[in-house]
Amino acid sequence: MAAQVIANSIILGLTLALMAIGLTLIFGTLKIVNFAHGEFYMLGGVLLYYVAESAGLGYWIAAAVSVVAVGMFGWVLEVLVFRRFHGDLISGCIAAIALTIGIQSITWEVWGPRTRGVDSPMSGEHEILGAIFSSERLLIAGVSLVTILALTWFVKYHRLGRAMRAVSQDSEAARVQGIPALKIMALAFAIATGLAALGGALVAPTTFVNPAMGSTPLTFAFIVVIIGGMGSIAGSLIASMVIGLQQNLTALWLGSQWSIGVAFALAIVVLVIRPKGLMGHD
Amino acid sequence: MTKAKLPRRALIGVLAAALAAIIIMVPFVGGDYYAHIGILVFLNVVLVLGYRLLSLTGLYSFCHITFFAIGAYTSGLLSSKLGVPVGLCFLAAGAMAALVSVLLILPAARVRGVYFFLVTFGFLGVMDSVFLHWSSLTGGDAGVLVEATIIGTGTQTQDYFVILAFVLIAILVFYRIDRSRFGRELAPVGNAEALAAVSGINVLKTRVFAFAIGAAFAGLAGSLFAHDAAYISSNNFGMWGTIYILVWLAVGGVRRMWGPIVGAVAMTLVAELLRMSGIWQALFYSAVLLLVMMAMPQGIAGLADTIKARFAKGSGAVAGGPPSADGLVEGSE
Repeated sequence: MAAQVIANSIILGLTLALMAIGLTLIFGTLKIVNFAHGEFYMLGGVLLYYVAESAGLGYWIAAAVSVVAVGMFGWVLEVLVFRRFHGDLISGCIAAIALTIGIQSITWEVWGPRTRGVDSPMSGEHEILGAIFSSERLLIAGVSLVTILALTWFVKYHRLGRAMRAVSQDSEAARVQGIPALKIMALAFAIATGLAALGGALVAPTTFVNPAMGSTPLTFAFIVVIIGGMGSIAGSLIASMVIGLQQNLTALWLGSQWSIGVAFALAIVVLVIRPKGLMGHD
Repeated sequence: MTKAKLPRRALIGVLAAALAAIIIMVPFVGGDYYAHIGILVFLNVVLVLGYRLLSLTGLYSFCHITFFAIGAYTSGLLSSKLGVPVGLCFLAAGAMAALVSVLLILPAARVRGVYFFLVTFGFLGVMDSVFLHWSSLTGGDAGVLVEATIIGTGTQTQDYFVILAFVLIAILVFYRIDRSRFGRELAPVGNAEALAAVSGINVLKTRVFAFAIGAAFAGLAGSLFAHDAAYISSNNFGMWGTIYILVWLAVGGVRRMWGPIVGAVAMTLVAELLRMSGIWQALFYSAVLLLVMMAMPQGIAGLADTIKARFAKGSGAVAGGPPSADGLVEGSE
C-alpha cells in the first residue's frame, strides 16, 4: 500500500514537473508569469491527436512533431509579444491572458466542441517492489525523468544553459559580457513551451484531449512553483514530488475533490513561512 | 483663460446631463436585458475601484473576486437559511469580506511583488474549492437560491436603481479617499516604500486599510449581485473574475480614478454587446487586450495624460510621462 502510494506520487510528481520547470524557467529568465503556459500543454495534446490519429503517423512521430512545433510557436510569441513585457509582472500577465483567450478560442473553432482520445503506444502492467504500474504510466514517468535530467545537465553545463543562468541572475551584466540576452530569453521560452507540449503529449493517452485540457495542469504548475520558489528548477522538482504525494494522500484521506484545495493551502503556508518558496530567488 | 474655460465647462455639463439621462432611461427603454447589463457594469466599476486602492500601494492581489464571492455567500445564506433581513445581510457581507481580507493580508503582506500575487492566487484557489465542495452549505456547482428582493418588489428596474445608487455612493467614497491624507499616502507606499516609511507613513497599516476597504466594497457588491440574481453558484466566482478586474485596471490605467472606471465600463459593454458572436468575441477581446498592453502600457488614463502633456508643452516631444514605477509597472525586484 505504502509502496503503491509512493510510486504513484513519484509518477504524478514527474508529470507535474514538466509543466512547473518550464514555468519557473520562464520566470527566472524573462521575469514573466506565463499564464498562457497551459495552452502550450493543450497544443501539445491537440497536435498529437492531429498527427497521430488524423494523419496516422503514429504516436512517437506525432509527439516529436508537437514538441518541436509548439517550441517554435513559443519562440515566435516570445519575439512578437513577451519581449515587450520582460520584468513587468502585471502587464506580462495580462498579455499572457490575452494570448490564452485567443489561442483557446481559435483551437475550439478548429477542434469543435468535443473531447477525443489518443491511443497509447503501450499497454500492460508491471509489478515492481509490490507496486503495480501500467506500462503507459511508466513510460510517462521515464520520458519525463530523462527530459528533466537532460535539461538539468543543459542548464548546468552547456554553453547556452550557462548563458541562460547568467541572464536570469542579471541580464544587464550578462549583456555586457557579450551574451545575446534577448536570444537566450527566446530560447528559454521555446524550451519551456516545448516542455509543456511534451507534458500534454505524454499525458494525452491517459486522459482526454480538448482545448480546455491545459487549465488544471497550469493551476498545479503554479502551486508547484510557489512552493518550490520562482526561478528554481531544483525547487520545482522537489515541490512536484511534494505535491504528487499530497495529491495521493489527500485523495486517500479526505477524498480527491479536496486535493486541489489542500494543495493551495499548502502553498499559502509555505509562502508565509518562507516568502520566496523552498529554493526561490529574486 | 476664463473665456476659454466657460464653453468647456458648459460642454462638460451638457455631456454629464446627457449621460445621466441615458443611464436613467436604460431600464425603461431597454427593458430587463439592458437593465441587467447596466447592473453588471455598475458592480464591475465598484470592483475595479476597490481593487485599485491596494494596487496603488504596489501590491497586486489575485483574489479580489473572492471577496465578491464571500459577500455574495454571506448575504445570500444569511437571508435564505436564517431569514435575516436583506439590509442587514448587505452590511454583514461587507463586514465579512473586510474581516477576511484583514486576516489574509496580515500574514500575506510579508511577501512582495509576484509572491503576493501568488499567495492571493492560492487563497482564491482554496476558497474556490470550499465554495465548490462544501456543497451542504453553498450548494456547490448546482448553486443555491437566495432572497430575490433588495427593495420594493425586487423587479429588475428597482434593482437597477438600487445598484445605481450604490455605485454612485461608492464612487463618491473612493473620490473622497483619493483626496484624503490616507489616499495621498497610497502611491508613495507603492513607488518608494522605504522612503514612505521613513517619512512617517505606516506602510503595513496603509496596505491593510487599502485591502480591507477594497474587500468591503467587493463584499457589498457581491451581496447586491446575489440578491439581484436570486441565485449564486460556485461558477460565478472563478479566477476569470479577478482576471477581468485586472484587465479593466490595465486598460484604464491605475493612476487616475476615472481610468479604471472607463476600463470597466468599456470592456464590460464590449464583452456583453459582442456576446452573440461566439469566437469573434473572444478573439476581439484578446486582440484589444494585446494591443492595449503593447501600445499604451499606462492605460487610457496614461495615454490621455501623455497627450495632455504634449499639448501643454506645445512641442512634439513626449513630455517624459510618469516614471515607470508610477504606473502599472511592477519590476520583479
